[in-house]
Amino acid sequence: MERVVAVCRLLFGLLTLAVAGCGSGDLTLSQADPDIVARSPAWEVVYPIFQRECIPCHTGTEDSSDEPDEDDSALAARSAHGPSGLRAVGGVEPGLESCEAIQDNLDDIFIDIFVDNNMPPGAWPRLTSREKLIIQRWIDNGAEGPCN
Amino acid sequence: MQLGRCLMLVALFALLAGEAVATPIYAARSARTCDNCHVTPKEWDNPPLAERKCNMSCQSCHVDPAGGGMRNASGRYFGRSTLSMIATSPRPTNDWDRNVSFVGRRDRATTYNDDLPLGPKTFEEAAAFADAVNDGWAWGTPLGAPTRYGLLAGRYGTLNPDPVFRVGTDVRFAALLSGSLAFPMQIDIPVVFHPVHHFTVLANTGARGRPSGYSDTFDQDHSFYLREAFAMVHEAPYQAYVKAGRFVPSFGLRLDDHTALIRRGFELDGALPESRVSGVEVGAMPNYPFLNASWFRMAARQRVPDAWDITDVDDGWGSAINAGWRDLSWSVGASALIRRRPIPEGGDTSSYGVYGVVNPWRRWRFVPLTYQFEYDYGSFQRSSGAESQQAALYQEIQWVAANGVTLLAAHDWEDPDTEIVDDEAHRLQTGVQVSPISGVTLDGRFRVLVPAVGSADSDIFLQLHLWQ
Repeated sequence: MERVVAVCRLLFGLLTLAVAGCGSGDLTLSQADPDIVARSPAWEVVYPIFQRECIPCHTGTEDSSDEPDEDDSALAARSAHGPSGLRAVGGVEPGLESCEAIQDNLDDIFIDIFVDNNMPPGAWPRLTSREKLIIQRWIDNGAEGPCN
Repeated sequence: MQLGRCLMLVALFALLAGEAVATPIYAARSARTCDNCHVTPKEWDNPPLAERKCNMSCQSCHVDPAGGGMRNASGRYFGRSTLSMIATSPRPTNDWDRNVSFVGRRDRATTYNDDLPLGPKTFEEAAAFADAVNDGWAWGTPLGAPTRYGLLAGRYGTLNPDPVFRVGTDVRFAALLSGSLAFPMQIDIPVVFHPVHHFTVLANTGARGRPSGYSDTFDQDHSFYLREAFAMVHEAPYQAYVKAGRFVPSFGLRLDDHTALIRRGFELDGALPESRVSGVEVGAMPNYPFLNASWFRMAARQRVPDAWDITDVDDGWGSAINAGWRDLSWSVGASALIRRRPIPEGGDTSSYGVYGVVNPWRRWRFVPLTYQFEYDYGSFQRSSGAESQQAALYQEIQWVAANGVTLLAAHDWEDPDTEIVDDEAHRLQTGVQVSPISGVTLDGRFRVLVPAVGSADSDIFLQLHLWQ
C-alpha cells in the first residue's frame, strides 16, 4: 500500500515540477503583438467585457460617486469595503451596469484588474491578457463612453 | 516568490490529497469488481470479442459513445448499486462492509447473503428475463430481432436495457461562497428515441445557468439550446458506431467540470454552445482499445450558434481523434484536434493531449484511490494572425472513503499564451462528494486560484446535482 501511495505521490510531484518548470514567456501582449487590439478601443468593445466578467455580480447601477477618491489610507483599509475591493455603498457592492457607474469606479477597477489581479473573485479565472489590454488602452485613451 | 508560494500550496495540496468530480474516473475504478455495473456474473462466459459490451470506455455507461449526458441501463445500475450511500440495486459484494456507519445496511436491494439475484448467462437466456423489466424512466422494446451487440435484459435488475423511449434529467444548483451567489448552474432534459435495433436519435435540450440569477438563466437568448442532437447507427460488432449531428468533439478526459482549464482555452467548455460542432463521428471500443474520430464544421469562435438549428455553422472545418487503451486498473490515451478557419472566425488551432489513469484499488482492496491526469499543448492564432502556443494540465486524486462518500483533490494549471509573461495560473481544489441515494449528489469544494501576478484567492463551491 505504501508503495502505491508513493507511486501516486511521485506522479503528482513529477507533473507539478514539470508544470512549475514551464515558465511563461517574457513579453507583455502589447509587446508581443501590438496590433492584436485597437490602439484606442471603443466602448462597444470594452463594455462586453464588463458584461461578461463583472456585471454577473456587480448588478445594478448604484455608484459611489459621493465617496472621495481612494488614497493610501483607503487602500490599507480595503477590507472595510466589499470583497472585490470596489467601494461598497451602504454595504452593497456597486453596480457596473451603466457607463456612469463604470466611470465612477474606474480607479478601483484599475487596481482590481492591474494591481491586485483579483477579479473575477475567488477561484474564477481572471481576465485574459487580451481583455486586460483592451481595458488598459481604453483607460489610457481617456476611457471614453456614451456618458462622457 | 509567486512560484515559491504556488509550489508550497501544491505541496500542501499533495499532502491533503483526497478526490474531484470527474466521470471518467468512475469508469477507471469500476473494473475492480464486475457486479457494480450489472448483477452478479456467476458462471458467466465471456462472449466473443466482437460481442463484448463490458469495457472501461464511455459507451459502457452512456448512450453517447463519446461520453457524457444520458446514462444507459449499465450507467444507471452503477449509480444505484455503487455510487450512493444507500443502494437501490444490489451492492457489489466487495463493498458490503463499506457503508457509512450511521447508514448501516439500509440498502433496499441487497440481501447480504448468498441469495443474490442472477442474470442471464448467455444472449439466448436473456429473452426469459424480459418480463422482469419494471422501469419508470425507459419504455418499450425496439422493433426487429434482438441484437447480440445491445444490452441484455436481466443483466441490470429491473432496468430496461434497450428501451424505445427514454427520458432523463440532469439539474445542478450551485452556490459560490465568494460573491455569495446561488444560481441554477445547468439544466438538461435528454430524450432518446430508439425505434429499431441499431438506430437511435438523441436530443438533449439544456440551459446554461447564469450567476446573475434565475431570471437571466431563463430569459437570456440561447439559455435553452440543443446541447446534443444526433442520429446514430450502433449496436455493431466491437461496439462500433457512426453518429451525425451536433456534439462536442471527443478529446481527452470528458470531465463534468466545465471550468477545467484543460477545456476552456481549447474551445471544449462543455457548458457553452460555442463548444458544439456539427459533423460526423465514428468509433469503436473492442475492449480494451478505443477510438473516436470526427470531422465537423463549427460557428466562429466568438459567435454563439443558433440554439436549435444544428446546421448553423461558418466557414472552416475541424477534425478530432481520441484513441488509447483502457485496461482494468490503468489507461492511457492521446488526442488531437485541429480547426482550420479564417482568422476573423477564430483562426487555426492544433491541439494535442495525453492522459492516463491509475486505479490501485483494483489490486489493493483497502486502497480506494484513483488518480488521473491530462496534459494538453497546442498552437493557435491570435486575432492579429500571429501564431502562439498554449498549454494546460489537469490532475486529480479520488479517495472513496465509504459507499457514497468520496474525498477529492484536483490541480489545474494553464498557460494560455506561452509567449506572454505572467498569464498563467494554478487552481487547487479539495472537497467531498456525498451521494445519499442514486440520482442525488452533494458536492462541496474549497478552491484556490493562484495567478502568476496578484494575490491568490479562494472560494467555496457547493453543488446539488440531481440526475436520472
